[in-house]
Amino acid sequence: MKKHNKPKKRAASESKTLLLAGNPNVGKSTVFNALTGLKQHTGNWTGKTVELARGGFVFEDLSYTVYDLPGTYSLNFNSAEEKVASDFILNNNCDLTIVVVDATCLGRNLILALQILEMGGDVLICLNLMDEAKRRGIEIDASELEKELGAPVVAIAAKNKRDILKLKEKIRSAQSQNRNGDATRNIYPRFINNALDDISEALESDLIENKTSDISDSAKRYAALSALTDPRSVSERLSEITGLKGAQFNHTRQELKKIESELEFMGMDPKDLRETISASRAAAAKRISDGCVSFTNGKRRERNLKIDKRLTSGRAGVLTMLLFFGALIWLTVCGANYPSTLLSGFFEWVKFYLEKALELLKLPEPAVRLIIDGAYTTVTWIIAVMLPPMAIFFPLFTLLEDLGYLPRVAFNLDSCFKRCGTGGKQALTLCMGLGCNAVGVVGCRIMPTENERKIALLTNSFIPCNGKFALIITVSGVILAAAKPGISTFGRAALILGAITLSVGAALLATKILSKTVYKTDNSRSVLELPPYRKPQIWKTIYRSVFDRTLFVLCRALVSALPAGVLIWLLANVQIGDASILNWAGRFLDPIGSILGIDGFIILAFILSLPANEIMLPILIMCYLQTSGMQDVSGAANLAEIFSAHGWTILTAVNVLILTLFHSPCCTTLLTIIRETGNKLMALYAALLPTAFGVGMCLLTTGIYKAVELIFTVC
Amino acid sequence: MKIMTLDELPIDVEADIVDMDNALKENGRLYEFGFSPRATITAKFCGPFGDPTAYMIMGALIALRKNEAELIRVCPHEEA
Repeated sequence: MKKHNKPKKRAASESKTLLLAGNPNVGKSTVFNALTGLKQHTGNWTGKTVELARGGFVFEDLSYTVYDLPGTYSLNFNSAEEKVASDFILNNNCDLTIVVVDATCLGRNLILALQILEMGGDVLICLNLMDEAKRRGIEIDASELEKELGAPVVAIAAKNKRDILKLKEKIRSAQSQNRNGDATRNIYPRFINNALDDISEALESDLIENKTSDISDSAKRYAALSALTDPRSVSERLSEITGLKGAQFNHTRQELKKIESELEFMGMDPKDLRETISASRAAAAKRISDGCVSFTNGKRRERNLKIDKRLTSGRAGVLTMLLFFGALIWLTVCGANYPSTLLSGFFEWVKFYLEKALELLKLPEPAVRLIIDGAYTTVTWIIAVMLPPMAIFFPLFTLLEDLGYLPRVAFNLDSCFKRCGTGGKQALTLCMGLGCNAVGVVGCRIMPTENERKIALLTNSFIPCNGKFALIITVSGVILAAAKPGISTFGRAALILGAITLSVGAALLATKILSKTVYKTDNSRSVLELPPYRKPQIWKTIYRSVFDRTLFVLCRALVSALPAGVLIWLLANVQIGDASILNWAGRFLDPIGSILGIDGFIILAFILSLPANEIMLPILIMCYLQTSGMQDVSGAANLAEIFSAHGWTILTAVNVLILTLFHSPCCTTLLTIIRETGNKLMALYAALLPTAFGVGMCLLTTGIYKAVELIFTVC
Repeated sequence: MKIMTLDELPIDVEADIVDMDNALKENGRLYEFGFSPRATITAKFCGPFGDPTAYMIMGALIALRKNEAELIRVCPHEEA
């Protein structure tokens, strides 16, 4: 069983623990950020928050710790997340559970709220998105809702600072308010209430007999509910809640048998109980929301679906998808040019003075060259050439996420993925992977079944992450400069879009193979919510995202690129026999390289870029420069020259592009896979799968090229 | 008062869910998304290959595949 962050039991004088629960997409994370001042990212789609976030704040001399649970639709322990959420609430380590509810969708949201109320403990209902509700003419009678639910209610729009203050005040006062537990009795028909009472009594007897400490009434009732809804896992779940072992549930088991035979006598299948309970809850949710919700001018204003109908439905959906991503890529390519040139020029200027300074310090010549050609060149190359596209694409993509467009991608691609054994949700994980493969891997938790999750995990690296993306942009620039000089940025964007489409296709193929062989899937069930489009906070997101990303890339450049650059320089300048170690390495790998249509240094660069994908090109360039004594490379301008001086043909460039798309994910991703699956072999497969594909494609292209060459020489 | 399966429901026609027992046997989680007997549901638009279809139910837009939709029986509202 995985370990989760459980709040420790603490003394009364320490901080109060708050828990944020609710459906996906209700703005829970926005509330979390507003309360704690933390910067957890709040993308607009189901499953964005997959890890527990924790933060704190101080209000009126009391300190609070806040946990942000992943959004769930219920707490039926169907998934690891639901179990985490319900464990948290049950363990009574929280002083207050805040259920964040979407005011525009009250009925549906109450289904979860009612379940949480049934678990006992202090609850505060936080009606969020009141501004959206107002816009759609929805009015909610908060006091009526309080009465029906027996719990305090506060209505806010999390974007508003004043409303957050209101929330904090309500949190403060909510704890001293007494809960009306009887409200949850109104949900179920009498025979179920009676059954629950009987089971609770039986549980109490068991607890007393075994001299275990008593649990609260609502915990008993919740345990009784669990016993009724899931007879198979009775022992396990009840043990967790009550602390008793399976054999100690004598009275409870007797009572359950009695109830079962009574139901059969009534003509009811005990298995239907679960549905009756769920149906009662859903009906109660509807009844309560109908009683509290009213519409200004008497009619509910439907959610604006015009955009969706036009952009998402039918063939237009796929076109829009290509357009959106194409636009993203084009903006990145264009936007990265100017900063790249600026940065390159700047670093050249600094290099001049740095060399002078080092000479003044009377450092030996090799040391100077190590620092300048090894460390400095590599790091500044990454900053000048790799950083701009990464720092531009990431924020743009984040905006698309915040808009809520990504579930539409999942919607459009659901049919394709279904035919390959999974479903649209895998498209979502691939989208996450576009930002960072490690994030994509964690995001695979949203897959409905375990085998689907494993497949999604293994194929996630088919989609290029931010670092690989920067590589693709640069290499595609080189290809196009050689093949068709003067091609516009549109052409370049089209090539890159094609590359990404190819990688999605490869992921689909790999998915199909895996789902038919190793991880057979049962992918019949799939329900996906399409949240409403929300206007992203454009400037704030861009600013924060650019800043975060730049910092991240800079750190990685220092941690990965600098040592790599130094290593290459050393390998290139330490001689064994008549050639440097680097040369030997290159010669050794060359035979393998030529089968694949590339050369030994390229293979070496790919291997050495395992820590961080974006360092592949600087390593390669260093290899070329150091072994040929060429000096100087300013930015990406002379890349084509350097490459052709080392024997690159169009075949080499295409194969490098292919291998960039399809090779092992970086170390971080592999470690994340090990963590997520608890299995080191999975990481190995995840490394081998895309690599095998890349190698296979290279063999194919090389074969075709050589064959065509042969035909032309013969004729 | 014609009863049909959900996948047969035309676009933009409101209907009430009549029976979802078969659907629940396939996927017991439908309740969580707001699907329940007597709830009002409307089909809004389909994906590129006609599947899945996005339905408006209890204020939320939920996408369901054809093989699941055909297990739910609905009764369209009469024309006003």
